[in-house]
Amino acid sequence: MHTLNSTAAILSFVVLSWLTERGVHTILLLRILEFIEGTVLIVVLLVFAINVIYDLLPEQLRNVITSRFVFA
Amino acid sequence: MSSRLDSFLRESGKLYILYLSAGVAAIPAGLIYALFAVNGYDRWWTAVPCIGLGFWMARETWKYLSLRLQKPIAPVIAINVGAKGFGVRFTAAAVVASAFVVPAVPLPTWAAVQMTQNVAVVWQGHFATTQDRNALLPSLP
Repeated sequence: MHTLNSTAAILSFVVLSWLTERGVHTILLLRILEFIEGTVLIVVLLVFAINVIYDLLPEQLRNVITSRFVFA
Repeated sequence: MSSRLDSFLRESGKLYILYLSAGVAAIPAGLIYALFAVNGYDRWWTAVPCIGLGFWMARETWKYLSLRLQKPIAPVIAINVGAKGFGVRFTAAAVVASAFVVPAVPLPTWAAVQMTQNVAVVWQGHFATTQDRNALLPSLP
């Protein structure tokens, strides 16, 4: 679920920045938008990674430790 | 009680809003880094603090919204004018006055109602369709 939603959010940012870039014809603003988009995508990926670490890994570790594979 | 599909869609929507809000919260940090970069300072020692700032703001937004999205929507409180604030005499006077004023207000003619176009015509307790309205047109005032 995290994968699906973070992918959807990233695609939303890509599409929105593409739409914005179509309306902007200044090279400087285009470069600024590119850097903003890159930073935002990195941050969303970091948020996704942290969420996966905090949500999924403890569950998997518990499954391995208890040797009972429960996918809750 | 919500169905499983309803609660799945609701939780998915909340998660999508959380991810999108985290990204929106990182935009100022991205703008700061972009201003660094277009001025020639696209170095690791500018990128790392900006990404850190963006991640911190995204995390704060995530913490705030993940609590806020659990709260129910506040109900709309309808104010009962007659119950409090105005007193019995004022309410009675307003009711008596309206008995004189309301009949004096001219009702719109059917032509005037027709001019608005977006009006729901109710006849004998039913919402009339456009065809009903056209059929009733000769008999209405």
